[in-house]
Amino acid sequence: MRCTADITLKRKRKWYRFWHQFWQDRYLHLLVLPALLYIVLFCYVPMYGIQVAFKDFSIRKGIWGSPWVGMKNFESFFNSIYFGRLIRNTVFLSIGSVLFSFPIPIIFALLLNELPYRKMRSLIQTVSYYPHFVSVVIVVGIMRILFSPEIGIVNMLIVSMGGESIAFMESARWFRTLYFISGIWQSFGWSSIIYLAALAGVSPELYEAAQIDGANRFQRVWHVSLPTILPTIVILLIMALGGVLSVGKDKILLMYNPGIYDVADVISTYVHRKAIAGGQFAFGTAVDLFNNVVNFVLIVIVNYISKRVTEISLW
Amino acid sequence: MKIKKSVGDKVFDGFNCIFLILIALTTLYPFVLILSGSVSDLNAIIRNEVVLLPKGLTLDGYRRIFSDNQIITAYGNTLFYTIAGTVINLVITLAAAYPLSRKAYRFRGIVMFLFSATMFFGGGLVPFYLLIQNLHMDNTRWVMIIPGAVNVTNLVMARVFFSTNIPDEMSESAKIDGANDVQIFCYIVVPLAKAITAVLALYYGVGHWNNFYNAMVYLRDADKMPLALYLRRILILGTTTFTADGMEDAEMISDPLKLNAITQQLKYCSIIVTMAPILFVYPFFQKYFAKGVMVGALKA
Repeated sequence: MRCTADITLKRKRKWYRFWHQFWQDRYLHLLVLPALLYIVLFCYVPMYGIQVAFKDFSIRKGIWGSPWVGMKNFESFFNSIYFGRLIRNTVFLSIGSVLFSFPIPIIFALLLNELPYRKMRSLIQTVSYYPHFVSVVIVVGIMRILFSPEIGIVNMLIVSMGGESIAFMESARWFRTLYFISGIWQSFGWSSIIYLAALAGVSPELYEAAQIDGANRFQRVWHVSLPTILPTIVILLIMALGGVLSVGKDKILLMYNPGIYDVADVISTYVHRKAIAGGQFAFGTAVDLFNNVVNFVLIVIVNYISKRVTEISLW
Repeated sequence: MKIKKSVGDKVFDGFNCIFLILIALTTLYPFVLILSGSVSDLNAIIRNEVVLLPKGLTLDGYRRIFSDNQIITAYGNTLFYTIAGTVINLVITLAAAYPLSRKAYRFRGIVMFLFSATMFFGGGLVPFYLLIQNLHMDNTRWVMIIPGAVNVTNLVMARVFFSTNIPDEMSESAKIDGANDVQIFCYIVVPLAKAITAVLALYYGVGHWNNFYNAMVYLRDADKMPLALYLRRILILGTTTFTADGMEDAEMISDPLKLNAITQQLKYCSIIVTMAPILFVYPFFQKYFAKGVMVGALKA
């Protein structure tokens, strides 16, 4: 008898302590609350809507009232003739982006870090950030102007060198190239910030010591600068590889046309076209869910490997 | 101690310098070309002569574009969305970041988990779309302001900034003096958070200014359109509205070459007009980068 009384007493005390702490932090809760409410409403409530993927959804019946159909939506996606094409395009575009857009900011940051003139360094840095702040609508708009067959400067160059002008924006052959080039232009400066920040933290004495030991310029970059930013590189690489199946839809939606869907259509644009523009909500949710799950699994795997190999991990 | 540079070093510096300048110029080139085109003479545009610097000087393009009521409306809308949205973003993000930076806050682990989890998994496009419908935010101005009120990456950045710049001892001593956490936040933390506020304002502000997807999907009324959608119509869909305005005399419009050039210049001008505010305010924010972004980016 005494024993159970003890336990209930202990439990009571525990509860009491919990509420006491909770009450003590009440003003801190108050500060967090708006953000928490927001995240619950716009991030966690939509997770409830994921069940639509397994339903024969109609707006009239609502999320809860629509009948379950099991994996039907997924099956029709896997069996669709577009499945292979979508996966291929998504993987190509994101691998290509990693391949091109990933090393360039690193090289840029290392070179900029070697520049001895402080003023010029910050000027070049400022200029390199500009494209990041430009709306994707403008980026694609500028591309249309630069690469236009009639007035585009690129085609003027080609013609003046005796070539034939190319309708770049309508060409399936050129879509990926344009996508990558504009991607590099948009992001190389901005992505280099994080590396430059890490490099700025290196004590100059380290470079001097290396120099006294006889290290040349390249060796100093290789043995001093690079190791400083290596952890950052690895983390960003994990993120990039984990996102191999997530290609942003905005730029492609503005760039593509039905004529080049064959190379340009990716999962996210397909979901947009089918679900948001086409009203096939359940099907779109299923495709999206498939995409999300694969992404999540990928990031867990990459993170695990990185943890094993380099002892760097996201969590 | 200063070590003398070798000849090889100097040669490298020279090449490196030239190379980086070339990169900067290439990056700038599209902007310069558009700017030049926007003020060039129509005849030069017809002859396709503008390749770098403006040929002739005229502000007709800008006059034409500002005679279009739609761009004025769009501009006003975008300004409203950007300012209202950014203010809400800042208040909510900073308020949440402060408690999460305090070691004394015993619930910060679980709250932080709730936030970070959303970076790796979400409901996706369609459930979000259905939510907006259910909240009756479809085709309202709210849809441009409320969703996206908290960006978890930015929240983490602000949290790191607070934990490195505002020591726990400071909050504790204020508490002993009788202040509660809300007071501490308002009177001590916010005045010390200028750098991170500036950086977050820039990030959020640019996001709102450029947001086109939400507008494209959720807004239907012309009077709610932001600039980004107006631009999309002019630049991507290639439809212009100026002929309907009846500003030009018929003789001019009847010349297809001239009409073409006018349309072309209209594109240049609309790009410049949209981009100008951001490129203009950006240098003012830049000095805070070192304090704000660098701290946040490194530790986050």
